[in-house]
Amino acid sequence: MSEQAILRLQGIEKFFGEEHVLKNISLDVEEGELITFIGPSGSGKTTLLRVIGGFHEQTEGAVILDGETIDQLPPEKRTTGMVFQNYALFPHMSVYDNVAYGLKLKKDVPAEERDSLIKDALKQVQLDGYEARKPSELSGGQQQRVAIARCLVLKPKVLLLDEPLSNLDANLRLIMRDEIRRLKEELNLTIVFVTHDQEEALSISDRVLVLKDGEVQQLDAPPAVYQHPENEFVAEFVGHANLIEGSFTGKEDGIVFQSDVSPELTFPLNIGGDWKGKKGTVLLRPEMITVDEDSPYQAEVKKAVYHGNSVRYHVDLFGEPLYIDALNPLSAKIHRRGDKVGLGFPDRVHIIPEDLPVKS
Amino acid sequence: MSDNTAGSVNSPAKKKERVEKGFLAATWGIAALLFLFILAPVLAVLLQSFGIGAGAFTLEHYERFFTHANYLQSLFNSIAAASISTFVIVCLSIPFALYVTRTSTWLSSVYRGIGLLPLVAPPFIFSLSLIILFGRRGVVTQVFNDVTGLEISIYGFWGVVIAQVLGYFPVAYMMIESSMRNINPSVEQASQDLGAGQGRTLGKITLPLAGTAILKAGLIVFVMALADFSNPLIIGGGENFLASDAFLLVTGQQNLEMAAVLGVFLIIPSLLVFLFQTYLLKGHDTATSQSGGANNPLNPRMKRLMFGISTLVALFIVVMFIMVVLSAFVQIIGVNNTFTLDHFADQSGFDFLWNSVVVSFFAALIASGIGILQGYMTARKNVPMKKLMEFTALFGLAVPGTVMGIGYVLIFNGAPFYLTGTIFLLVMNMAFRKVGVGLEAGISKMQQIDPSLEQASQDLGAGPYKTFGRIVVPLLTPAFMAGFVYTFMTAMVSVSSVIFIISPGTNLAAPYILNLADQAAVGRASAMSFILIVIVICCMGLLKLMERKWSINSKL
Ligand SMILES: Nc1ncnc2c1ncn2[C@@H]1O[C@H](COP(=O)(O)OP(=O)(O)OP(=O)(O)O)[C@@H](O)[C@H]1O
Ligand SMILES: [Mg+2]
Repeated sequence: MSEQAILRLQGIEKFFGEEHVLKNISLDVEEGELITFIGPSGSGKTTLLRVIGGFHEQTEGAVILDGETIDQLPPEKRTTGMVFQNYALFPHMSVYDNVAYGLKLKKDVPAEERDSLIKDALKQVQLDGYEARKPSELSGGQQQRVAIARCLVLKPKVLLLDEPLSNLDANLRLIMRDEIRRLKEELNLTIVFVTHDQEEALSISDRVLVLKDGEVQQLDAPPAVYQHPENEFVAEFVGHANLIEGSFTGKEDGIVFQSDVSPELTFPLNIGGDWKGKKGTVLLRPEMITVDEDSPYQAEVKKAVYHGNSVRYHVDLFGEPLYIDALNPLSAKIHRRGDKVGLGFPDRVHIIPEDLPVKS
Repeated sequence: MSDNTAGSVNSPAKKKERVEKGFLAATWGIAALLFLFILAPVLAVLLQSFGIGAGAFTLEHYERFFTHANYLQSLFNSIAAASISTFVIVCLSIPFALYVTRTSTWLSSVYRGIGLLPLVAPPFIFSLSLIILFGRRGVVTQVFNDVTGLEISIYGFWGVVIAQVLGYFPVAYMMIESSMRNINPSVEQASQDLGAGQGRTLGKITLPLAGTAILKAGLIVFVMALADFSNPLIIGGGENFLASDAFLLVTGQQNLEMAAVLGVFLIIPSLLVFLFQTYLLKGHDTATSQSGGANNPLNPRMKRLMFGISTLVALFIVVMFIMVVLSAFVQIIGVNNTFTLDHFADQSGFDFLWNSVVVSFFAALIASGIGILQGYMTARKNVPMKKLMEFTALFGLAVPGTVMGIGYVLIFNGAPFYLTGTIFLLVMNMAFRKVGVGLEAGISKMQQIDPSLEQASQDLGAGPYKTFGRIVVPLLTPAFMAGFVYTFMTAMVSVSSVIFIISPGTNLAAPYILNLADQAAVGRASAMSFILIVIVICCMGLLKLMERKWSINSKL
């Protein structure tokens, strides 16, 4: 547990009636950190975010912001700032008035300083010049910027964003993603970000919290979550995964993996000897398997889907269905259904030990 | 937030679920007002009909009702007239609505305006113009008499029916029109694409889709016509009708018990229709599937037919209004047609007009103010008695004015209130008879407002009251205006309830005109009606203008 954690969640439990929505969630968010909640629909991401913002009260546990227990405070007394999925801009107020709204309610900000603070906030989100517009006269991305500026101007200790990019089109989503990252770096913001888009989570976050059915599955930096998922759920939810259960046997020149489903599928691994004699699940990301025409592993192509920068092959190898991403198809032949394709396996893989089943 | 946290260990967790004190106080205050100004009067009528209040429980008054030909006749007349006018109105509204929604010429917009025109006039305006045309010295009566030597008389049962048909036409028309406008045109196009002609499409698709609205419209018109009070009084020619007899029993004979019995017979059908509407027809509006474009146009033959019927109705309404205007500006219409402004020289008339404006303004303010406050609390706050209060407010809309009037006499005439004849009581009467409209407008608008707006305001540091004042109230302004315009307009022209509680000093324009018409002071009645109509139209225009400005300002 870090000393400079600005936001601490301790043993959060949440029931809606009989439904147990959040299960013993503890989390420390450090100052200037961007942490993402990710998980399937209904896993409790929004609920957890709203517990922090004060819109849901946890059934048990504590929310501590900057050393102060805030979980009995109503939202208006918390120094958190929430950006809503639909932005929730006040339609009857101009951009300026939207940003001014919270500032006018703060007694410790003298009236004469307000104007420059508002202008600064709008400048930070690159909306100077739009003060007089009504929200209905802005594009989706601009509305989003106003929603962010409206929070920023109050200098919240944590910024809470619930799927802020899901209403934007693909291009704008990328731009706003960079924008949020930039603001975070420039202003040293602490951000809690909810998304169901795993790519977004990986690219924007300092750390990712994976939720399933209200339980934390893993909390790690993006590369760790992608490369070293703690369980099969995380492996499959974050990115695409070939998960092959099997056992590790020793050979004179190292360890060999053998699949349970199709015992003909074996390949050597360059991993530590402790695995010898154990069972586990091997994670092969589709891009980890390469196309290698000379390989002894000749698989049959069941389906080929062209993605532009890659081709995804669904193949069958000794009865084991696998999918692989073949990059840079320009130089390579694009295989069709029924073709034989040779596969190359990596010798380093991530292994999920058998005695670590998926939680819950 | 009102999430139910099961097994809350920490007791403060319950704290936030509690409603803020101010909203709780408001709820109790509004509940008390709803009870006093809606439920209590109706209960009083019910009790009085059994003799309770004046003495011990008795069925004597009901016995009297069923053994006296006059009372039974009034029941029969009211039901018969209401049935006939409802049937005719529905038959006319459908083609009228079809013509207006399914053609798009300037004429159809004009017709639309004409169809709604009667709403800005007192409910007895057509009795007045019928007398001008067909009364004893009526314009047509005289010509007809000169040509054929025969006498005609509009006074009596049929006169009432005609006046009701014209007077209540807009109510049905408005409802049917809006449902027909909302039918998705592609549904009708699909039917035609599948080979059905226009007539068949109309019969098999359009009318069934508008069916619920047509049924609702018919029921409401029936209840209104049944409780019609002013037309029988002016043009009934002494025939017995429930509401007018009840009024005469109160004012003429001070027989409140018998009046209450008639009131009970008025309220039973209203109550049944009200319950039927709120519980059985709710959510049955099949037609309100948002339209995807302009309504499907009619083919030429169908269009000619609908045009013919609509023109007849529109002409009739216009002629009636013109007669009132003409008769306001001549000595005695049909007898001495010289121009004069004498009828406008009516100081007490102008005083009463001013009273009407003041009373209607405050009634509208209270009705729509309470409407949006209660609407907000109903939609968002965990306040007690929500359903009951909504029911009561809507019930207030359904209670016939005559019944409400008798109830007000019973409750507010004597101790402890002594309020009869005060402006205050007139305001409360009109406000609480219409508060249901404001409430429904408030609730439905709240459903369109995303709760995240209020949460955002809270998140930015505004407490519940500030959030209500700065975010909710501005966003509810269109609903407030809608409730305000409606209440104001109906209050300006309403008579049946307030006529029981006015006093010579605090009279209102509409009852005053009714009285003039009743005394056959046609010229002065016309002049006052003319001014009243002009005022109502001007006020509405003004309010519409403001409404437009507001709604542009708060577009989401
Ligand atoms: N106000 C509420 N009352 C009762 N149950 C609720 C409430 N809000 C959420 N839930 C339930 O809690 C669970 C978690 O919901 P939550 O909204 O946190 O999921 P989520 O992870 O944000 O999902 P999504 O990706 O779809 O937004 C769901 O089963 C949901 O049905
Ligand atoms: Mg969510």
